[in-house]
Amino acid sequence: MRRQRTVWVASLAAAIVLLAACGGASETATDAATSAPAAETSATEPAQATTGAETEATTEQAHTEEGATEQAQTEGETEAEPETEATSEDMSGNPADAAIRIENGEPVGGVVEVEVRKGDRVRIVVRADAEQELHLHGYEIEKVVRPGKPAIFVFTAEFEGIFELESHTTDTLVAKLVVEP
Amino acid sequence: MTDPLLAHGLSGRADLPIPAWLFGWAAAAVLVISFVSLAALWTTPKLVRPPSRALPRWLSAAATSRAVEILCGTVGVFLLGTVIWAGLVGSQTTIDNIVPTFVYVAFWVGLVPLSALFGDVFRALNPWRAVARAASFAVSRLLGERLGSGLPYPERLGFWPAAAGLVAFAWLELLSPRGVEPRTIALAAIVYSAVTFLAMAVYGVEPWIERGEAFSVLFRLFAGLAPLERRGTEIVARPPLAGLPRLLPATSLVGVLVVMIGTITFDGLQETGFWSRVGPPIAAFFDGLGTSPALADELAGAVGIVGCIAAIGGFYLLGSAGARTAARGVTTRELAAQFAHSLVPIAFVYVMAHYLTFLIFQGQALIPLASDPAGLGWDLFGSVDRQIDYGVIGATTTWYCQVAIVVAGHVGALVLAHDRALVLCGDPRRATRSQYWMLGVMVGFTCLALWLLSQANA
Repeated sequence: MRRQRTVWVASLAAAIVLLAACGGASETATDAATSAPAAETSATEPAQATTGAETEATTEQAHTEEGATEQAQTEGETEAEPETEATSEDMSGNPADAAIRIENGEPVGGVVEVEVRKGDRVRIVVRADAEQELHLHGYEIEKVVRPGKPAIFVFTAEFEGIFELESHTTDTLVAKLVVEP
Repeated sequence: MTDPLLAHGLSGRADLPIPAWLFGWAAAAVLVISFVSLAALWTTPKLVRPPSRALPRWLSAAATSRAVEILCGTVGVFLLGTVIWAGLVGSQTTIDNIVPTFVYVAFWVGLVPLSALFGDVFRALNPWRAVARAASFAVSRLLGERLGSGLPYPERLGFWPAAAGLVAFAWLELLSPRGVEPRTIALAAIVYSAVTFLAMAVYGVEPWIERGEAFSVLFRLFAGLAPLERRGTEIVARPPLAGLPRLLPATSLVGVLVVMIGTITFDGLQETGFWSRVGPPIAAFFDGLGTSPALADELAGAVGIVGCIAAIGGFYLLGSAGARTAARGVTTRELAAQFAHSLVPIAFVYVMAHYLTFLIFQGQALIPLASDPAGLGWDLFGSVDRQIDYGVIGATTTWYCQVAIVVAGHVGALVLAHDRALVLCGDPRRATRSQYWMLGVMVGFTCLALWLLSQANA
């Protein structure tokens, strides 16, 4: 009987300690979580910067206007900024941008991870050296990209999860869209 | 290395990993529950003769009637036939053909919760059983005599053929680069049917169904979790889990469950950073032996699956060895067999947690695919343009469901192991002492499941 009670007390104590520890951890984790997007943003920027040598920049105005879609499509060869394509901006409606370049059937710099929050507007611009059919799973957007004619995906990230953007033509994964709650 | 998202082939969507804080909470809950259970669980076995109540007579009679049995068998045969036909004749584009979605989602995953809710429904739907029974009925009618039952099923074979069948299916689903091709699946179905019919001819239909046919064995295990059970012509309601203690303790049963848990572990492991660091060197090794890159990938995956199965099995045996300290005079193998049934809830929640969104999202694809099963441009039910709605369940809800499922499985396994320990040890205090090791194993499996969820696509 005493032994049972001892185990009870010990379990209760362990429970309190563990839950308190996790409660503390969850606070620091939520702090970490809210600072994570900012951290990830700065992480993707250098990543894009390293591929900047071959990556063509979308024009700076493209960040702020939807109408820039036309500008990008007319393909003004702007080599203005060789870095920083993917900026996950706040949820006030400004689009999150990503630019991808496909060469020889593979995405330059590896598979691009586009990280956004649910509800963000997203714009992904894909350029390629050969014609191919691109498919964004989940959102079911299909576009064709040709040399000199980039494919532009513009949409609201309404579904949570990790979605593939792949080339059906070469059967390769081009990018991963990560939509977090 | 093939990208794991594409390895599933069917779905272009993957789950977000569970956040670290949720992992922490869940693991803490698991530990707390385990400690509390040691102190507070019952002291006499409760699951040996569980209370049961028969359903209303008319319901039982209708459900177990010959007509319903023939209907279900016909449905099963029709579905198998559709798989073979659509796979061979239809479009080879994965998403345009019903075969991959039906086999990997509706059949492989869908039947798991269905069995856990309603009992052994696959027994009625089993196409091989239906065909074999129809054939023997026809032959006995034509020849006017009953067919002999062939050779007796060798005891030593146990459930091993079923385990082998599950490994073969896992190879097709997880490793084979052609595993999502409709034609490959159709051919595999043909080969499996041939093997099954041959085995039934040799050992008899029911003996093979009971121990040798992989899917029958698997779904019957999960049916032990259900609150409903068929006894003869009666359907009875009984406590969930209560069907499991009646399973024959056998080493080969351990084999089946370890294979099941191991292959799902590998499926989850493939999506982790761990595998992206460990897999390529293994593939490079095979590459160095001169195989093609695709084969090297496949063999690396094979090493992974075997490794996972071995690790799960080894860990379980370690727990059984530890339990020997309290239950004297029993070998580790015998103990492992005696507690094998407690792995069923663990296998169940491994399936449900890992494939939950696969079922919810890719399962919706069955609606348009039913209208055009072979991708030939049909529209039988007018639903061919229906799209999958990826907003049906959000990420946060998914996380909570996955964690709740995993913890529930832990509780189920604990309950079963504790009850069995009471039966084996007689004395409640010795039973509890013998449970410390088993408890460690259960906590290990549960935390592994949580870890896999937290590392998936992280």
